[in-house]
Order: sequence, then C-alpha cells, then structure tokens
Amino acid sequence: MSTPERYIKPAADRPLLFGDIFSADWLHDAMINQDAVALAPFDARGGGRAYAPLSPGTKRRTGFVLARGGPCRAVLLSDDCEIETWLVRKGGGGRLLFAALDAWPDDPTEAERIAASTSFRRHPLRPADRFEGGVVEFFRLFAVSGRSLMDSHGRLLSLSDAERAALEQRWAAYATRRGPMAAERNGTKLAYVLEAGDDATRWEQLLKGISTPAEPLVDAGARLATALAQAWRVEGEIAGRFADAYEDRRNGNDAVPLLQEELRVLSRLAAEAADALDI
Amino acid sequence: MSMLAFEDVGIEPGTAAASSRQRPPMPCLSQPMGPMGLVIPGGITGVASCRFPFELLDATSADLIELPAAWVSVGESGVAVIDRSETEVQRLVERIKRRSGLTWGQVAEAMGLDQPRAVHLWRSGGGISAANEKQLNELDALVDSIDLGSAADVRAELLQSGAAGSILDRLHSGESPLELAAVAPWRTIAREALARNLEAASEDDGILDEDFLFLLELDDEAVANFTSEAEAILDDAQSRRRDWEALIDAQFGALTPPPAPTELVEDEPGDDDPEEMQPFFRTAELGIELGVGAIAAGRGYRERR
Repeated sequence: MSTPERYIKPAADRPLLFGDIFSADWLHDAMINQDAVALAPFDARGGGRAYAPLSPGTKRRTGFVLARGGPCRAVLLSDDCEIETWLVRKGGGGRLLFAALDAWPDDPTEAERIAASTSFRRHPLRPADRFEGGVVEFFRLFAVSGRSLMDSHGRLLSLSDAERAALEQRWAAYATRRGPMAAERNGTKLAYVLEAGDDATRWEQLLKGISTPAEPLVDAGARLATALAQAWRVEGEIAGRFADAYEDRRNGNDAVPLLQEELRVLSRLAAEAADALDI
Repeated sequence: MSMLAFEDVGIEPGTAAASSRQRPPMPCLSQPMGPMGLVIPGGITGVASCRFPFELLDATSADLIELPAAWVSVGESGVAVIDRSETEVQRLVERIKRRSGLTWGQVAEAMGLDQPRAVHLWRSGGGISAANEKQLNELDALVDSIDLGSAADVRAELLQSGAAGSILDRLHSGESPLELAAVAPWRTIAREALARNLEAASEDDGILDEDFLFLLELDDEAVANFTSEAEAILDDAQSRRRDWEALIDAQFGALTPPPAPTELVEDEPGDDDPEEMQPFFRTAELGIELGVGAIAAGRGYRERR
C-alpha cells in the first residue's frame, strides 16, 4: 500500500479540481461512431420517455445523439481555470473533459508493469487507503456538462498535489507531446540519433538492445531533458504565481526574485545542454 | 330478417306486462309453437297459454312481435319452425357485442332499451322492428368507426365520460349513433394530439408523442399536407378511427428507416506497445523539483472568494 496522502476525501465545499475522481451512475465514456444520428425524445405509447433515431443528415437539432460507450468511473482532466470558468463564472455551462478510469489490475505482475509504464496513453493511480486504485485511460476521453457537476455531484476523491503533478505531466505528454515525460523520451531519442547517425547497422543494434548509446550522448540527452523539465517548472509552477496575483488583482512583485532565480537556472541548464552537444 | 306482422303469424295482440318504459300491447301466440315450449306467465293478457319464453318477446316493438327468426317461417298454418340458420340481425348483434366489449345489458342501453330481453331475442333469431334494425345497423357502424381490434378499447371509448356524458349514455338517451360517431373520444384525443405535436415539432426541444415522430422528418410542405389530410379525417363524421391510424402509419411507412448501427472496433486494450522506447532517465532523477504546473496550478475557485 502506498501512502494514504495520495488521495484525499474532499470536503463538500472543496472546489472541483484537475484529477478529481468521479463515480456516478450517469457517468459513461461516450463516444460517437460513424453511425451517430440525432435522436428525438418522445413520449412512448406505453408511458415513459424514449428516444428515436432521426434520418442521417437531419438538420434538426434535438440535442441528443446516438453514441457508444459504457458506464465507468472517471477522472476530471479540464484544467483548474477552465473548471472555475464553467462552474462559477458561467453558472454550470459548458463541458468539462474526463478520462475513463479503468480498474486496477488484480494480477500483481500486471499491476507492477502498469505502475512502471512510461506510456503516455495510460496513467496509473496506485491503490492506497480510501482508494482501490485505477488506471486513467487518456484514450477514452469524454465530456460532461458543467451543470451535472455543480455541487460536486459524483466526486469520490481528490488527488494529492504530488499525484496531480504526475497526472498533469503524463496528460501533457499524451495531449501535446510536451513536458517532462515527453522530455525524457526526446532526450533518449537524441542519444540514439547522435549515436547511430546514418549507420543502419548501429540503429539495428540500438533498437534491438544489443548496445546502448555512448555515455556522453546519454548525458547530452539527459541534460536536454533536464533543461526542458526546468522550463516546465518555470512555465507552470513559477508562472502560476503571477497568474494567481493577476486573478487576485494584487501585486506579484514578491514572486519576481523567484522567477529571476528560476530563469537563471533554466538559462544555465539550457547552456549546459547546448555544451553537452559539442561532442 | 324475421319481422313478422301479427296477422302474418296469427297472433292476437295483448297488453304489456309492467315495464318502466311505455310498452305496446303485448301479443301472445294463438297456438303452441317453438322448441322452448314454455308457458308465458299470466302477466301477459290475451290468450292464456302461450308457449314461448317471455324474454324472447320484444316488448319495445310497437306493431311487431319479434320471434326467433330461425324458428319461424310462414306456411299454410301461419307459423312453422323450420329455419335455424343464422340471420343477418343475429350476426349484427353478436358482432356488436364482440367488437364493443359491452355487456348484453349495455348493448341494450346502446339500443335505447332498459332491458336486454329484446337483444337476447334478436340474438337468438327473433324478429326485429325496422326501427330497431336501423338503430342496430347504426350502432354497428358506430362501433366499426371506433374499433381498432380491441374490444376493451372500444368499450373504453363508449364508456369514457364526456361533458355531455359517455357515448353509451347518449345512445341510451336516444342520440343517433351516426351523430355520436362524429364526437367519439378518439377524435378529441386525436385533435389535441395533432395540435400538440405540430407545435412540438416546430421547436427544437419539443417532445413529441411516439405516434407523431414522423413529423420531425417532414419538410414544411409535407407537414402542411399531412395536417390537411389529418383535419379532413377528423372533421368527417363518416371517417373511421382506422382511417386516422392508417394515415399515421402511412407517414411512418414513407420514411427512410434509420441505418443499422455499424460495427465498432473495440478499444485497443491497455498500453502494450512492443515498440515503446524506454527512456534512459526519468525526470524525477534529474534534480528538478516538479510540482503542479499550469494545468493543475489553480488553488480552487472557492478559496478566492
């Protein structure tokens, strides 16, 4: 079992946040297929509400559509500012982005493999107190209306900041191919490219794991990844302090020294990465 | 048809037994006849020993005694029981009963009668007056105009309360079946449904009844044409409920059926990617402290307020 702080039982008035875990009967990982058609709600002869498909290409806007999917637990992926925009400023309008949360595997070997995976597509939420664990499946995204989420309907748990940070990094890697996880991969690719060049035999050896790039080349890749990770830190965590000051309409000068320091670190790391490429 | 004039069958008019309605003089048979062989009790004046079941005598007929036609034909002796085949009136009565779901007593009420005796008489082949036969035919037409194949449904139509009473009440009080066909409950319901669904179909978020879903597929001209046809049926006293249903069915029949759902490729399971490259290093090991970034940096909107 991991540390219990990994997951937080949120107070009812805690705002919804990126990474919140939801479980509700109405949650479905809906997606449309090529057979999607508008559905018209109607009062059935035998009583009750039913839905009938309209002709393909109908211009009628019923607001209902035939979709595929199934019931699931889910994790909120909209960023915190977007959540606030829809739930507070726009009174529950709009749509918020979710990813389906698959069950944590029962097989310990599979569980360990998922926990260590560097795939961008799935993110492990390891079992801990209060939570049996799950796998966030970024390839099963769907939207939920803001109105459905007012008053935190369906929220089960929130993630700790450390878990939110990890989820954020993998989500950025999946959605934008940027951020620390993408940097790991890009730094490694850099080492491969510098090692093999146009040598097909060398490529084959590297890709089959027969050999690895020379240590200086791996170091160059690592320095690139380090600089990009620092850039991520400045762009997100540090710049966020000014975003907060802006939202509060207050002076953010107290964050300037930190920003200067972090930028100098970034500058130094970027220079070191550049120097490492003088091979 | 077995309406026999008294003189045709040698019947002497008598006086009627007590009845809540004005009854014509009750005749009695002048000679024994018929297979039942019952003696009419003394409530009927005239010849004392009539051998006919009392309930088969139509007390409502003013100038006719109605006998089971299957029993009666006129021969040299005036009366003979020879014909046991079902008559048109018998078929009519049975059909009304079967299709309407009414009790025999209610069928009698629908005929404007207080008692079902005459109906039983007709049912068993007894003679019927021209007026009653006409009423019976009109009642049959009324039932036919309502009938969609469910006796319970027709019965409900006939018994449904209205501002002026149910159709059955109004039949009992003497209103014409043909006129009542024009105000049957189904027409009122259909008119209301038509208006409601036309309005709902004009709105994007309108909720239609199942029977009117086709409206969502029609263009304005087609809706206008349908509306015109629908109103013509509902306004025509001769139209039947089946005509209305056929009109609705025809609208659905003209629609292009929605395509069958296409096969869906299952989601690829998991993250298994044999080509997935394993990085030589992890950012967590590179010495950069990574907290929540731009996506998850919000402190929570309620904390700000």
